[in-house]
Amino acid sequence: MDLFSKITNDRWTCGLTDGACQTAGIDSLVEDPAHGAVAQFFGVVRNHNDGLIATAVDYDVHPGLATKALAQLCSDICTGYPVRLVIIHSRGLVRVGEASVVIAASSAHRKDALGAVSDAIDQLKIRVPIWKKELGLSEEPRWLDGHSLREDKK
Amino acid sequence: MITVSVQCLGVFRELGDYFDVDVESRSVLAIRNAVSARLQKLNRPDLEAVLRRSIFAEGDEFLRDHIVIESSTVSLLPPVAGG
Repeated sequence: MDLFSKITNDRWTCGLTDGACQTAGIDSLVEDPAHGAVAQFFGVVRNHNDGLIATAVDYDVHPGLATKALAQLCSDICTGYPVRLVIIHSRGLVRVGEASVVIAASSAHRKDALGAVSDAIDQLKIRVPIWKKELGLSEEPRWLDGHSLREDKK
Repeated sequence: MITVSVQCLGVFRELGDYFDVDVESRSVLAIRNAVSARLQKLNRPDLEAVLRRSIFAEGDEFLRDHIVIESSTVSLLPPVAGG
């Protein structure tokens, strides 16, 4: 997958890609012969939200801040769990059925990989400067509300 | 007066990719107040409400309101909604 912004080290990789994320082969990025578990999460654009039909989501990103926040998130997750981790998020248009975020973690035993992936998506949603504009069939595109970073940093 | 360029992200893109505000100091609070005044002038109470929950950034650093910026460009970041 082509990443226009990426930070990596020996435990984790994070990055941003234009358009939909590729899901095939994401597990290969966390391969480790000492690890017996691989957990993956794909965030996929669905065809409805708040009772309205959705056809796509257009993701807006602050590349510098988002990559930095993803890197800090990976570092935090890898401090809490003995895992190898990858997180990739989309920028731009992602259509229904396509993935906008992919996360994979591997660990020696399943609980750590599953916990790491679950925490990673929960934290991504409230920490990373990314915004989504939902596109429908007939309504005006609408920006979705989210989590205030200002209130976090007071 | 100093002119500061504000980069719009998320819902603020409805105002364009950038707009300028004139401020008497480079403090983030002064910039926030100038943006608020601009939104009032545009009759956008919806965006004023979002502004109250938004944070500014300079380059790759988040800015609290008491900070004084060094450059003349800031980014305006509404509440985040990735995933």
